[in-house]
Amino acid sequence: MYKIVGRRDFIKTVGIAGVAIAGGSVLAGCSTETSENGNIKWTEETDVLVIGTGFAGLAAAIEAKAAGAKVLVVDKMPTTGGNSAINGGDMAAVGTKLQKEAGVEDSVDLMVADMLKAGLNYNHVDKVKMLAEKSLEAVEWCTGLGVQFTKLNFHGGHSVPRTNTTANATGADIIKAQVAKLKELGVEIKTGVKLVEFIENEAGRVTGIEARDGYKIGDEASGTAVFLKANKAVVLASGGFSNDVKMRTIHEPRLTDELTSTNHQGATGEALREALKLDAMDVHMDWIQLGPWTSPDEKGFGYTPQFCERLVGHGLMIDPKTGKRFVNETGNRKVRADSMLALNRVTIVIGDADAVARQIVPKTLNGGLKSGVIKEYNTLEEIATAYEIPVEPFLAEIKRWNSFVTNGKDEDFDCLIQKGAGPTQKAPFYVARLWPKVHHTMGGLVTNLKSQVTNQDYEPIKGFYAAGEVTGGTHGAVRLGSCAITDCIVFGRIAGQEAAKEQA
Amino acid sequence: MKKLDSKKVLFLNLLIVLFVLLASSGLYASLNSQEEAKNTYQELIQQEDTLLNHNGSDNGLECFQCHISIGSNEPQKEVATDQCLACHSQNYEGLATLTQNLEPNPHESPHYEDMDCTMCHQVHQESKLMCAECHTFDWMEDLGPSWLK
Repeated sequence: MYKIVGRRDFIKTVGIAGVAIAGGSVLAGCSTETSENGNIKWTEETDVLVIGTGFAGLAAAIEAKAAGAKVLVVDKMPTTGGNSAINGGDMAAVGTKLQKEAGVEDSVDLMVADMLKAGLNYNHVDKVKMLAEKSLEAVEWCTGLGVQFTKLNFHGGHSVPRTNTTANATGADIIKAQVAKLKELGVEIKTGVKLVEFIENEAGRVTGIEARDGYKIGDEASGTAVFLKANKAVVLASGGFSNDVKMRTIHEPRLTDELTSTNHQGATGEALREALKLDAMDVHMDWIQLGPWTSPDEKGFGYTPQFCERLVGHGLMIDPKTGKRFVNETGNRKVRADSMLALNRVTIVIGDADAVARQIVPKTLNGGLKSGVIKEYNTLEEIATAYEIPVEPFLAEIKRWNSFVTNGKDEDFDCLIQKGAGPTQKAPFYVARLWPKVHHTMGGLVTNLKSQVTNQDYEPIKGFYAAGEVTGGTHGAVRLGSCAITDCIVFGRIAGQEAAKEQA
Repeated sequence: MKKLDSKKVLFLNLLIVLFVLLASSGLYASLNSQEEAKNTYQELIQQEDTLLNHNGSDNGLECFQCHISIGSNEPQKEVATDQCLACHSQNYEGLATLTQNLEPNPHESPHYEDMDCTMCHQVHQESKLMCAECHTFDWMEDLGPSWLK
C-alpha cells in the first residue's frame, strides 16, 4: 500500500486548533516538541506508552521501566485492572511449588499438548511453547511482586491439576501487586484516558496516540483531546471484545445480546479495530469462548463458575429433560458450552455434601446459597421435583455415575474422575443451574515471539507491541481455562522488555 | 531536555501569548457561566427530583460545590471523586469505616481499589451498584428508593 507522507500528521493539525480553543488547561504541561514535520503538538511524551491496565499492560509497564525506559500507562476506564480485576485469579503453570507439594507430575510438553488439544490445533505453536516454558517463571514473577498463590486447582481440559489460585481467588490480587510495584517504580497510571487513534510517522512507525483525557465510559464526547508521544514504542494491551455485541455478532452471529457476558463493561473492540487500521493482521476473530459454568440466575461471572468448576470430576451435570448426563464434565469449555447450546436449555450441576465440603470455598458456597444461585436439597428426589426431572432415569443415572466414580473410570463420557472423589450420595445435595455466557475472545492481533504486532506483509509494525487478550493465535480455537493470566504475564513482560530496547 | 531551535522558541512564545489570552477570557467566561448556572440551579431546585439522591440537598447545597473543576475553579459537568470526599470522610478509607457493618463492605472492593464515587452514586438519577453487575449481597435489599433495584 502506498502511504501518503504525513497524511495523519496533517489531520492532526486540524485537531490541535480545536484543542487550543477548548481551553488552556489542556495545554498545561505540554511539551514543546513537534513531530518531524512540525505539525503535532504532543501533550506529553514518554518512552514506552502502555494502553491498558490489565495483567498484560501492567506487566509490560513494569518490565519496560525496569529496563530503564520512561513509561506512561493509560486506561479508558475509571479504575485500573479492567477485566483482570474481576478474573478468578487462576493461573496455569508447570512445576510450581503448589504442584510439587501436591505431588503432581507435569511437564511443559504436557501443557503444550493440552493447550493444542483444546485449541483444536489452531494454536500458533511457537507461542504456546513459549507460554508453557515461561509459565513457572511467570508465576514466580508474580510471587516476587507479593502475590500469594494458596491453592492448586484443576480446570476442565487439563490433564493434571496445574492451576495456581491466588489467596482471594481474584485476579485483583495480581493487579494490586502490579499497581503497587509501578507506584514504587514511579510510573504514572492515568485512568479515564481513551485511545482515539494511533499516530504513525512517515516511515510507518507508531509514534504515539491521540486520546481523550477525562473520558467517561459510554460518553464518547467526554474528555478533551490529548496527544501522547511514545519515543520508543506503544504497547497495546486493551483486552478482548466479549462485551462488544456489534463486533462479536459480526464474527460469530450466534452471540447476540440474548447472551450476556462475564466481562466488564469496557471489554469492547475499538482499540483492536484502530490497530487494524495500521495494517495489522488479525487471526481467529470468530473463535469466541463461552463460559459453560455460568448461571442464568445471576449477572456477570457471579458465584457459579467457582462452584461448578471446582465440582467437575467430583459431581455431575444433568439435563433435566432426560435426567441423564449429557457431556464430559471435565471437557474443555467449547465441548461443554456447545453441548449446552445444542440442548438449548438450562442444565444443572450437582455436588453432594462431601464433594462440596472438599471442593467449594465457604465464600462461594455461602454467597451462592444466600443469593439463591446455589440451592440445597435433602434428597435426590427433591432435586427431581425442583427441576422437573423424570425421577427414575435420574436416580438410575446417579447410580451409574457413582459406579464410575468407584471404579475411577467414566464409561459414558470419559470424565476425568478426580483424586479423592466419592459417589454422590450424602445429603445435603447442592445444585446450580447452568447457561453459558460470552467469556473470552481468542482472536486478535497477530504478534511474534517478541510481542511485536505483525502487519499484512508479515513484517513487524515498527514501534508497536501487543499482549494479552487483544492478541490472537496463542489459544487457537478454544482457550484452555486458567491459561489467560499466564499468557498475559509472559507476553506482557516480553512486550515491555522489547519495547524498552527500541531506539528513542 | 532537548535544545529548542529558534523557530521552536518563537512558536513557544506565541503559544504562551495564546495561553494567557485564553486563560483570561476563560475566567470571564467562567464567571458568566457560574451566574448562569446559579440561575439554572434556582430553577432546578424547584423541581422535585433534581437532587433526588443527595441527603445534603436541603442544606443549601449549590451546583458548584460538586460541579467544579479542582484547580481551575471552573464549572464542569463531571464531579470529581475528590470533590465528594471533601465533604464525605476526606478519604476512601474513611468511607469504608462508614459501611463496615455491610458484608462485604462496598467501599472495600477486593477487585477495584480506586473507584470513582460516580461509578455507583448518582445524584440526579437513580444510583446503580457496580457490585450488582456480578454479585447479589444481602444488604442490597435494604437500599433506599434512590438505588436502582
